[in-house]
Amino acid sequence: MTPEHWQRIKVLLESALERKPDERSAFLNQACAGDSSLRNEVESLIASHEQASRFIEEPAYGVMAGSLADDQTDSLAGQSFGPYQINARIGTGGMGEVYLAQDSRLGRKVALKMLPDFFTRDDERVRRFQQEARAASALNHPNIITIYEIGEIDSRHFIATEFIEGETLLRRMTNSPMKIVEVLDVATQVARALSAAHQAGIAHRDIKPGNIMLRPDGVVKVLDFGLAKLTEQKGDDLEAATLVHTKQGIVMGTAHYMSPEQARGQKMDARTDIFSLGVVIYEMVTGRVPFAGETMTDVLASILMLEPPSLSQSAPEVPDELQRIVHSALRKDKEKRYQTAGEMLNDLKSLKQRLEFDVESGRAATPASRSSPGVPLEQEIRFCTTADGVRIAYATVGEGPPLVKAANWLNHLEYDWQSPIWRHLVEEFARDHLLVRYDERGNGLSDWDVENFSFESFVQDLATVVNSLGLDRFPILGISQGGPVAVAYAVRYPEKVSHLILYGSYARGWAKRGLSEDTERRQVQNALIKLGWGQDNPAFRQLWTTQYVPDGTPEQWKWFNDLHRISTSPDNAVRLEYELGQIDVVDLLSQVKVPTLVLHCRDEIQVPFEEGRLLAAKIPGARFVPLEGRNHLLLESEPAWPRFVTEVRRFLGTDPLK
Amino acid sequence: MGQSSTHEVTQLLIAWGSGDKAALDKLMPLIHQELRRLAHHYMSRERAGHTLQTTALVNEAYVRLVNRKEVHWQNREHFFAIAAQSMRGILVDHARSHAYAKRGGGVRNVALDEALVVSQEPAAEVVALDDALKQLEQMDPQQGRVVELRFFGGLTIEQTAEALHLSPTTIKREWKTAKAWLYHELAKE
Repeated sequence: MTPEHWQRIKVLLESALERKPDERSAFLNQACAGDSSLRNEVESLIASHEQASRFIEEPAYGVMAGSLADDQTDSLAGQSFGPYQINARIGTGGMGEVYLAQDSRLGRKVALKMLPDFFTRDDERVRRFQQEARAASALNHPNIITIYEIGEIDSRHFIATEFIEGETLLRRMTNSPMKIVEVLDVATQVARALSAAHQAGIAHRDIKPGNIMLRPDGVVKVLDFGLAKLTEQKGDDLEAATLVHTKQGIVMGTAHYMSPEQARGQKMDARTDIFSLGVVIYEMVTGRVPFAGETMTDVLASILMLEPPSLSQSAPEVPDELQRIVHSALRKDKEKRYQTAGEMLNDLKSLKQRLEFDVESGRAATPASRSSPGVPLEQEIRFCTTADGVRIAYATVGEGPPLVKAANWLNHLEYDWQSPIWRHLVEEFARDHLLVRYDERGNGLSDWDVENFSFESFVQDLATVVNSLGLDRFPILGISQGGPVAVAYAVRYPEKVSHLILYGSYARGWAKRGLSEDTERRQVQNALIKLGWGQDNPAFRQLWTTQYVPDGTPEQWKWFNDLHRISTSPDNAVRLEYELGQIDVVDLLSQVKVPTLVLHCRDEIQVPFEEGRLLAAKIPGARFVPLEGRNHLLLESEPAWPRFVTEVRRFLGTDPLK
Repeated sequence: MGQSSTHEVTQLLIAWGSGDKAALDKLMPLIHQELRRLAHHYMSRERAGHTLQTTALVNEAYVRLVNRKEVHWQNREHFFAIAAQSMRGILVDHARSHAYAKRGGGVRNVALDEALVVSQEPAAEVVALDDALKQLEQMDPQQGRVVELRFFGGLTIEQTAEALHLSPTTIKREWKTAKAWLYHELAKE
């Protein structure tokens, strides 16, 4: 480009940028006077300007820090560090160097974060940090990076965490604008992580795009829970620290995401994270942070005093509901903000479901709310540890006599209980029962990194959950694979089980049924799991989904498609599917001494009707109820559902009409 | 860095400030050498936690190289201007060799921390930016200086304005359009 041409374009660009976005077009029409190539050039630069808010704002020296440091500190690569074999350095930041390493004890890849001496010289600070990091390491949640170990070797403090491949949200945002559906997907997963952490009494305090990792399979992971403690200044110091930073002209990284109470150096609680998430959502939608400024002081002033422009000013297509959610998160008075991440999560979820439903059904928008009627239920999630050291997540909902649902393929306590597939079941029985659910090992909120997936381990998971709850005697609802697990448990502990309800279940896994066609189908599916489970394209999972709920709505299908990815990894899915195929409790059936009700849909293909008939025929005194329908999982809308409820309640003696 | 160099740098800076163009040629290698030493020193483990601050780095070089009692405050801005150019040389050289070494290195891009997230391949992007900046300098030398001072020198808007004897408003405007153009250039690749 010649200097003269650039001067001409630059003047137009400057003038256009001085105008409000909606006035630029008219201005350019006039200024370019029909020169469409000139106009195109200016417009593409305006677009670049819109995306370039962060571009080269951090000086080159900072950007290059890691690479410069290579000369000095890459020495650790190739060395042993305690049980860790260090492969390569993968990052450097204010919080220390990060290495990719192999844990020789378990043979797994880890990210090893070496904390800088600078932060660890103060013993009190180290102690506070370790306390917080230990608490954070107990958080077992698919959207939170797993901390494996916090320790000190050769007087170097380190944290070993799960190794995540992918990009951070910060990087994602600089690449291209995000669609609303994607924004909601990320926001929901972050809110889910926050909700779980807050329930465990842990606030993050440093939620920002650089701490949010997006995996290629769509799973979002929040990093560095509790690490904020390490850099945190005590109340009075914060202002001083801020001033120092401002004087030195450091590019402000984190100030943009600070809550007003944080900016003032006041006491922070979990509601700080809600504000920061509001900032992150705002930035995802509009491409810019809501509180900007030339200097850190300006940013802080803006956080304390200014109301950001509404989302619709930069993104006209944004739903009103999202504006409302962001507004509630960005309230300056924390008492007026969302009070819990769970509330924010619920609003994000229902908006997300509504939009996805609209997209799938080809509608632009539906004014009607799709939130479920009736009294809102609260579920409490806790963890217990099995004899072989696996953490199992379990949840209780409702009040009344207990009803224990054995785990089945695939659950996710947080994701499934208000979903279009499971909601009606949870609501129906939590009305007058203490409904107990848990996520089987390897999926949902339970540990994913599991060695043992045997049938016996499934029975132990159930036993561990009911023991932690201290339940003496209870009915068990076994759906699908939950059935054989419940049968084995009832045979072993007949005194504990008052009733056995088996729906869509079996005594023989798919490989033991002697149906060559079915076995072949499963083998093909296994191959497909390996190939398709982690992919963004839901086509593969849709195949799966249609077998479970052929008569589902697009909304239900979409949810079930997502469940697959959210609830377990492709590896675990393959292993679980294989193990389930090997199940065989036929010999135990005659030993069941517990009153049993067997229900099965006549035309489902996931577990053939014959398997239900076999259960009922071999369990002494069992009652068999054939249901009309094709769905492996009963949907609220089908006639078989009320029939199921009536039969189960009559069997349990909790029929409200009686 | 001994007393004699401090004296030398101070005198050269004053000479350059009063119009002696030749002084600059002697000044550059001295500043360059000291910045290079400091840049690497800052990165050593003992100094972790102090990373990421170009201004601090340049300040330290300034304190070490210049006798502040003798120089006019404007000499300081001159020093920054030279330092920015020098930093550009250090960083781009390093980036070129690093980007080259990394090619085919087999390490996956994994972002775990905000610092490295700024770019997954910082070295390659700094090199690309340097190339684009050279074009911009051809089209608009003043804008080129603004970017050099801001990005490579780590100067704020105000400091850049002082170094170039322009108003902060002008610098802001130049910075904005230069960024848009550079971003557009880099995005094309």
